[in-house]
Amino acid sequence: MDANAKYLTLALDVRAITDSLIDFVEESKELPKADELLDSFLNSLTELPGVSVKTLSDMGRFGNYESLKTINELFDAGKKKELTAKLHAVSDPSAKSRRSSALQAITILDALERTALYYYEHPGPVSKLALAS
Amino acid sequence: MNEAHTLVLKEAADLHRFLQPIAKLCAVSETDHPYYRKSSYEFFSHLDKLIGMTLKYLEDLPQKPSKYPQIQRSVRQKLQVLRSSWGKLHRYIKPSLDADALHIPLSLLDAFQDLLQQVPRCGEFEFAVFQLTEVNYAMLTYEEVNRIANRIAGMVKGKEFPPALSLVGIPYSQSSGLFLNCLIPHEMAHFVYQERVGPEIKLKVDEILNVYHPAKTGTPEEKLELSQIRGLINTWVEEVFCDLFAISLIGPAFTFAFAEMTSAALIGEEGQRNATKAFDFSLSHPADVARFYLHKRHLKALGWWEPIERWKCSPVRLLRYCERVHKQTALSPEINQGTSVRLNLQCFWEACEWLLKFVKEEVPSPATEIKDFFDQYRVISNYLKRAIVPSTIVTDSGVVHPSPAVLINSGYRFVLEELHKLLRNIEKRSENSVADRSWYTERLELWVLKALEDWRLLNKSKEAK
Repeated sequence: MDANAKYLTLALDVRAITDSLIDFVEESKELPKADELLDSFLNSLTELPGVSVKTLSDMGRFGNYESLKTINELFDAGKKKELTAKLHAVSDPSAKSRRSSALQAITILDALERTALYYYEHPGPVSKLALAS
Repeated sequence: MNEAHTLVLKEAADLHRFLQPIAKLCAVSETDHPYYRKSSYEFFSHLDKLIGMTLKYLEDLPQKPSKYPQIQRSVRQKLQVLRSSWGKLHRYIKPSLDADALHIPLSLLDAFQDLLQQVPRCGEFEFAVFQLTEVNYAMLTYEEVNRIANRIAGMVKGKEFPPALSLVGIPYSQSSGLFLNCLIPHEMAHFVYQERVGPEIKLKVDEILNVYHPAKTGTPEEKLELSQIRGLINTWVEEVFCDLFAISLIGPAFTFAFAEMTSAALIGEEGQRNATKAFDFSLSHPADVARFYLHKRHLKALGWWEPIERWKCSPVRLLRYCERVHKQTALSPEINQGTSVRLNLQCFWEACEWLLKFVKEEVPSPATEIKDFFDQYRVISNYLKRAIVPSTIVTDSGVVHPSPAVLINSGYRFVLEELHKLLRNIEKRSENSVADRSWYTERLELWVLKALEDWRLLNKSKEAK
């Protein structure tokens, strides 16, 4: 596989999450209850001290080198926690300010999507490190 | 109308303008010339509908201005990702349009597709073909086409990409060839991996990796290194799976084509570890030497090794050589140092031991094909020596229409071992002439391709009766 295409699919996966947040804000459509994509993304944001194949596997589509590198480059531990909290708040019907959390999460996710698209459009040192498959 | 929404409309109109000409290209009618395989029409038809839905999505945007600036910005970002995604698919539309029925090895592709559809759980699989400018073969992975098309569909409320359809790229110049095109089953196998067996194989790889890289505390960099190791092992194992699958489907012809493509015959001749990259595991592929070693193991397990082991041609010598030296393979310097230090190649070899058994069980044994090959290749050689298309041959057991695997491997055997006999039978042709050898190899390919076409017709008429 064209290694760079992994950045495009990362951008598209992030967009799928963002679109569900937009639907929530604009149409009050709740996020899907069991969303594998969102769960994998949340796992990729969780900072665990352990390094294991299992933690990578739990990250699903976000456990590959390109996704991890882009996420780590853009978000420090604090930002990851903040985004996780916002996404959990939107998913929890009893949480306060759900709409405001969704709007903030959209802004953060847009930054991630933009960075992934940048790496897709500009093959450079980062993508040279990446894997082809 | 606020300024942000005006920007959304402007950018949507730009994307609309970009997509309009592509929409015209995708509107391919089945009644027009040129003609395509059914799978290509399916591909064009899907893109035609998807682009129609994308245009409709863009046209509907003015009706939904958001009051939230965050969403207005996000919609602009969405237009950008839509453009990039269509830009990605754009790459394959013209090469697919160029691959009409007159510019692809039609009978060979049909034969390969028939063979593939006999494999359990692959009965529905179909392949559209596109042309590559590189002298290489490629399958567009799920991530490169299907997922991108499906994500576009998710954004514009379009339909899912046909689940059994994938795209295989072949060099644009090889439409009339046979031998090199025997690499196509490897590319088809990538789709089988992605759609059917990938999760099971990846689970096994994770199990093996767990032994060599047990859970421990570590830095984010170490986590990143482990993700690269996991990615590399999975990439290499997928390539080996595709090799073994191709051998199960068409026998040693795949190995011979691979040896030709990689100029691997030189590996054994050079005999020096440092003189070739064939010993290196790279970012995208396992070492060629490791692959040929595993080919030999699989050929032996299936029963193909016995009929070919006495051949004097260079690919057979190469298989023996790679068996002797496969342990000398190593990681390429292109893999970063941190990862290289931690990556233990034993993970790969263990996964391959399991994979050899797995492929043998998953892909039906071609035992009858091998027996037929044993019984028929000498007769087929006699036909080819006299420039006769071997569609119907007379063997000790009677009149036979040789099957595709028998035809392809007998043809390959003939060009590797006996082409000189054909040249000796033809006036004013010399076995020492490169031009004559090239010309008659092409003729030979055409005869075998004709026999493949006939086999399909004869079989269909047999089924109809």
